[in-house]
Amino acid sequence: MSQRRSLAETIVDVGEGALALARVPGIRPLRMDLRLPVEIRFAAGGGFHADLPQFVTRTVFDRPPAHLALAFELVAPLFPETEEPAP
Amino acid sequence: MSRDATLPLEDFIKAVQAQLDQAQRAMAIRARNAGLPLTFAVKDISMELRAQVEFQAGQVRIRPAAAGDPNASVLHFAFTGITRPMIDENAAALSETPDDPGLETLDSELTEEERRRLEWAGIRTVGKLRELQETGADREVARVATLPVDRLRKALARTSAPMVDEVLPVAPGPGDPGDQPALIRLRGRNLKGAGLPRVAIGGRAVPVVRASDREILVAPAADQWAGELSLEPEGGLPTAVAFDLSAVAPVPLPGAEAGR
Repeated sequence: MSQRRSLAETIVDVGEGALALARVPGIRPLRMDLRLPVEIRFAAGGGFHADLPQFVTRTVFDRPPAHLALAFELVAPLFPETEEPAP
Repeated sequence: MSRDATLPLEDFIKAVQAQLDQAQRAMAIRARNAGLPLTFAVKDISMELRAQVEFQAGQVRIRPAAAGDPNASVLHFAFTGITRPMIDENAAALSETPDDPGLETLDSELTEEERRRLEWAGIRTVGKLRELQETGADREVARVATLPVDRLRKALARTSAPMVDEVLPVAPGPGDPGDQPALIRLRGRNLKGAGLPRVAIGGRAVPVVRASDREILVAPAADQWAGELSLEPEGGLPTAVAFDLSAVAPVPLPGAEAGR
């Protein structure tokens, strides 16, 4: 079985990937909304994986995907411990 | 893990929150490392999950829907980024004082499932439970948590009883006068009661120097550094505990081992 990404990795990879595509000279995206199908699997130790579906086409043998809606906003980098803008 | 593994719903939500924090931190660090003045942060996230929902031992557990499962429930979770003042505001509402023991101290009176049902009803500490009893709301709590009220009252009566956890010698301070009597400190809970508690060691009363619900200082005689200590808070139930501090007694007791 291939390595599946955690929810955090999926959010970062998808978010930054989409943002890279949206970077056009002279335009600054301020907000980005995404809706994605994700495959969720519970992992040992109480965590879970939430990654994009491995295959575009789904068969009757595949589980129904979950759906993730993400809203990103442009901010100064914040750190959860301090909520202070990065130096 | 097998395909049919289940996860408590509460654990799933906590795991999503932890993953969101991790994603926010990762994006902030990556932006800083790239020298970007601005970055994208997750403002809102919602998740629609098809799952089987089960109720086991007082816990709601979920299991992702299997392939071709037409009867799965659809769970919709929505999270939003919150600011530190909002976190502090919520944390204050749920805070537990260090002197207020959690429900786990009732483990000999209530089963884990019964304690979980009380937590489900919003009662997380013994102090909160006692407060509800004092206001006459314990019957209501028992009904909400589906617990027999007598059982709840019995558990509360047990928590009101004095309990000595530690008996320790008090080391003299640098400014203490040389003729100050050697003291013993008792630590526990419900030690004081309404007035000054009565303390005896070996059947003889011991002067009480200072007393609070959590701690009592006594000044035992030279031959009272071991034996059975009995404590009776004013208006409370008596309790007794055996101890042996003969090795650190100011005057070694007969039979005390040298250097112990």
